[in-house]
Amino acid sequence: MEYLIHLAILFAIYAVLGMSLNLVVGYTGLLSVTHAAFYGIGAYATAIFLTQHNVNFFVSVVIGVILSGIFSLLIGAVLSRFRDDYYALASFGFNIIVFSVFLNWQDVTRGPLGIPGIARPELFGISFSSNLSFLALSVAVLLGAFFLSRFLVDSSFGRVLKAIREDEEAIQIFGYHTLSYKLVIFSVAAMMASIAGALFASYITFIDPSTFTLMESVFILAIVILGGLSNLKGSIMGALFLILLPELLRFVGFPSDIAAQMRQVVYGVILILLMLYRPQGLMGEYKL
Amino acid sequence: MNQTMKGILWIVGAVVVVGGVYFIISEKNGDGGTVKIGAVLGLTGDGSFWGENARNGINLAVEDINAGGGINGKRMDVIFEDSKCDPKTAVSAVQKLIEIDRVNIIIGDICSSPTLAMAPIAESKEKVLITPCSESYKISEAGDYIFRTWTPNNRQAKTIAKHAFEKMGLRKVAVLRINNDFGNSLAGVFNEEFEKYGGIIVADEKYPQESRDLKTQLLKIKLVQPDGVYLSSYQPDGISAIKQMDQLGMNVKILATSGINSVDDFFKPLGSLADGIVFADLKDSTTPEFRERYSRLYNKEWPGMGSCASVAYDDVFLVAEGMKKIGYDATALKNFLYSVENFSGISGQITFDRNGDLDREHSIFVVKNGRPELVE
Repeated sequence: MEYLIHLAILFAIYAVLGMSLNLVVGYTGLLSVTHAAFYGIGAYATAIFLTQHNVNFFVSVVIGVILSGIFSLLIGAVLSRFRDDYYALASFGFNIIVFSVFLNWQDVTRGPLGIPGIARPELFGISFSSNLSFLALSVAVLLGAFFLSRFLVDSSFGRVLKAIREDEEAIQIFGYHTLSYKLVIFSVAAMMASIAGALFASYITFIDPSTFTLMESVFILAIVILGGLSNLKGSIMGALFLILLPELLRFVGFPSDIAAQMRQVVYGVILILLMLYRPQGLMGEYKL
Repeated sequence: MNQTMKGILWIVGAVVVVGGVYFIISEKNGDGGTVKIGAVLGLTGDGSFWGENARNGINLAVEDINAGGGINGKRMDVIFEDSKCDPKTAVSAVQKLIEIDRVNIIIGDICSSPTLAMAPIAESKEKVLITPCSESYKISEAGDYIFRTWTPNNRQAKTIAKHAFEKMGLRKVAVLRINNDFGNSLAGVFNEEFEKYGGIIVADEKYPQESRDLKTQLLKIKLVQPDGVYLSSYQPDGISAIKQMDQLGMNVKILATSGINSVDDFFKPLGSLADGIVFADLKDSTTPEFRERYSRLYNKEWPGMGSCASVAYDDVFLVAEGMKKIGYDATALKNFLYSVENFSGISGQITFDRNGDLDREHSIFVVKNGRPELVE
């Protein structure tokens, strides 16, 4: 049972990441490959304030969210000067910068040694130290993120985002200041990612920079694309699929000498087949 | 909505069916004809050199135990899970081993970060976690149920710092280190020790893990004209560093870590450049028969003590010994491991200290004609 709870927690964390990135990539059409940076900022902020300054988990989360918000505004302001493929390239540059900071700012992040012993959250005497209660917290965050995102995309604000995706110049002619729309949605997504990061840090209780590499951003992007662009439930499905698939493959009886390699090959093949036969993702409404 | 629900139901259904069937057919430890233990190793990705060798060592040990009658007549069986050297994946793997396969003993990981991520789970579930050779000193404090058949990484750096100053007569040493847990902790201890003896660290340069062009760092080192360079590296980056030092015409003594101790993967590719490299490592106590058997079975030269194969072999034997004597209960096995005194394994004598670490002396080796030779 604990194993399923563990997978459910990971799923909830990645669903939040996928959904928030979908706001940027799917709804607004900005191909951002830097989400792991904000995920990492949230995780590190929580880890550092929790272990070194004994700040309550929920307060550290707020600090993480604020930090992530500030950085995302700065990064977003620079990124908005780029378009399409260049946007993607520039955004992954930022991921690499943030990763290097985690790795090299050793006085604060302890660099490659990582930060062990991160405590589980506590609020008004209620401790989320059991995995079941932690799952409840994660699901609450997931639901919160889902309803917030749905509210955003269903509002008139969301319609402007989709218009930016379809034709940015046209919507500018109607007098919309698209830059601020792009900045706001980029920041909202980054702040959501930082909450996911905080959950991750306190769940695994150990973080090191290797979790927040460029590959992690690509993985989150895979959740979005696989689940379906511009569909929030799609991102939830994508996360479910990408988290559970490798675990299900653990139960396939490959010969033990090559099992690990085979699992990765099969995983890759399934992803390729899925993209071949459902290029719009599991439930996407829009293709890149 | 309909489609979403259908999709989610399908996936959840598949998980429940597969998991349920697996759960029902997997028997409780010791009930049936087999005794199961788990192993979480980085079998793919960055750490796969160690992961694969450790797996080979474990397989050999299981073969030997089963050939010798198993555990009180029951066959021993190991379930391997891949961690990719990634903490998150390792946590999934260890949860699966404990919950679904219901093992009481887990061997792994080699990389330090997955071991550190798994330790709190093993500790809270009261399952024994034995890492063959993770090096981070943090593992010493990771918990009561956590053991390692290796010494924390500060020992080898102390040994080589002493040797460099006292025996080799080096006074000005430059440090070139890989910027990760391994490189930093070794170089940190080395610097401290070497300066304690009265030596001077004239330069201390870092490079990122994936980096292969180290000329910038090496040029800075060349400028300060050190007597020797302490190369705190893995294998591929170490090879690049030594080749580039040769290209830059740097003629200095090279001090290295146990991480490079491999004939096939390090000394052979370097050819004559490898001669004269000095490093500290645990003494390899494996018998020639064992090495020969290993190379015959896995079709490669015995990769040495640092490959973790021989300690992984011993881990399984230690556990089997405990299970024969006191059964499968994890807490009893933990107490058994602390009580072990001078267990003769193929990697040497094994006695755990109160942190669950081994206290072994490092020896100094120098490479001659492409092979390491024991100096002291």
